[in-house]
Amino acid sequence: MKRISLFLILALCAVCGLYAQTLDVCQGSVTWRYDANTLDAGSKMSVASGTTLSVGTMEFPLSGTTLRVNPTGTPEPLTVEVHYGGSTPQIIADGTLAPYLKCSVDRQNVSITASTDLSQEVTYRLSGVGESFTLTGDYKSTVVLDGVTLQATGTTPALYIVNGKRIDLQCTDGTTNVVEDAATNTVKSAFYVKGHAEWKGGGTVNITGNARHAYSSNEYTEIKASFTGVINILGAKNDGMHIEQYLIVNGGTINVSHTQGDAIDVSYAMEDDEVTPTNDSINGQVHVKNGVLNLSVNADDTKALKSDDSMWITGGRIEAIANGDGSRCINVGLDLTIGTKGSTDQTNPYIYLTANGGTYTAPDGDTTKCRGIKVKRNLYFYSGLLKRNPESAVSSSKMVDVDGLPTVSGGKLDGITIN
Amino acid sequence: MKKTILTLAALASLTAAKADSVKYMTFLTADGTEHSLSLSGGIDISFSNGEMVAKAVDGEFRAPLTEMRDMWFAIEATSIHEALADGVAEGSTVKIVGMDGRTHLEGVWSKDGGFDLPEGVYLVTTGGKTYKVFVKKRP
Repeated sequence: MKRISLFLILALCAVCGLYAQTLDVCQGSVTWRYDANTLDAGSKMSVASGTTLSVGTMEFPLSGTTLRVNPTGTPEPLTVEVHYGGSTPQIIADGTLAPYLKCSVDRQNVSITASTDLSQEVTYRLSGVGESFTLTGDYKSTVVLDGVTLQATGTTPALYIVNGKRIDLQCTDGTTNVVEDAATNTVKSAFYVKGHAEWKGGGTVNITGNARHAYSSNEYTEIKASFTGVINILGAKNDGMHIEQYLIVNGGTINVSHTQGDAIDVSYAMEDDEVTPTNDSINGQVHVKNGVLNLSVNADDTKALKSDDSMWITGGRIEAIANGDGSRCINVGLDLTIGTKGSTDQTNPYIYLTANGGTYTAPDGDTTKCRGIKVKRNLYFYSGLLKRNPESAVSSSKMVDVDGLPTVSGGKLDGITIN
Repeated sequence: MKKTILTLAALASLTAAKADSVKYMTFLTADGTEHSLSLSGGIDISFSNGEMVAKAVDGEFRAPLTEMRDMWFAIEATSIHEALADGVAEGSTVKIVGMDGRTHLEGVWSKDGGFDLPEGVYLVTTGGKTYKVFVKKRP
């Protein structure tokens, strides 16, 4: 019976597919795709003006416009596909979005600006090999990295999302994506998100910042539990990931190496004066709930994982290496909580520290010592495993440095003494 | 099992809806004449030199932009009577030729017709112009 049902479902789906039709309004690199079934006698297109084609509220100039009716086309509602490569990128967009999106193409650089009238979430799917993608708008959006390589050559990031709302970043399962800027980039990172970023999907993205940071978000970044992919920061002139407001890691893997600044730097979101932290209830914090972080820093006075405010590590696996003078594996501006109060787990979270640097002397004479963990206020160690790489240059008793009160009520310390 | 039946029913209804999908593109010119092209092999439409050209696998439609008005998609092609009713004055001379070259009507056009045509494509000449028209029988 099950087999018959499956057959019927497949057969019905095949029949459904036979009847898909689309009308493509083609203008150079941009194709606006309409579901032909929505353009019936009640929604006529008109060329009565002799100079424009009107489709709904949209007026396309006839000059440079061709139409193609595809009897087997499949309309994708609220979706814009950008495929890089060839002589010019190809953009295929849901025709109903034409009144709201302005698309421009310059070599392998694509820029899309969404009008303030747009009130539906649009998905932008990127694939192929190109230079840059710039998205400007005011409504939450989804950007899908569907096997795209963006290597910018100009003054903008390779992936530049100028939108202060929630941005879903989806890495398609099984794809490898590349985002790399040029040394001439004048914006602060190769992969820039003005708003708050939420990562999902199962692919890999390799990011390199040749000007400043590799990745940055002006508001929070959250690695969702549904993210099973890998973010590789392959190098940066400054921080690997520079995040404002807060970072939550719920899954996936983040590998950061070859940075000249911090591996992951989470700082306060500031008011316009750039001095006063915003009064958001969560600001400057890091919370690692799950996932894997492999972070290493080699430069002097840098941190593998840094928060301006408090940090919670309640799950997941962190392996951090601090090789530079004055560098830290984990550096916390206020309190650090490891594990969960009352838990007897001595394996999760797992934190493995390697600290090999010496003392860094700043130009003003201040000195900073390399440490595994530096906490500006209090440490609460409730559960999990905190382990020192036995080959670390920094001794067991110097591995964790707490300015306030250390509280150890559970978990396991391996090769580490907390005074 | 109940879930499976419900799923099948939903898919069946979807199929029924899709079965009504458009199959023709219809063009309306200033004189009120409608012309339909089948979508089956796709249609390419261009605008150049003051003319619109629509090319389909089974034929093409050309018209000066000054004479073009609207376009839309339809489930059925415009029938011979619907195509000519508004655009050909009663009593005009009309010649209807099938794609096999056989002449089906040559004489004075009447809305009542008095003749019938099987489904198919026909060339209709009236007023010095020739149009391609699809005839589709309504159920």
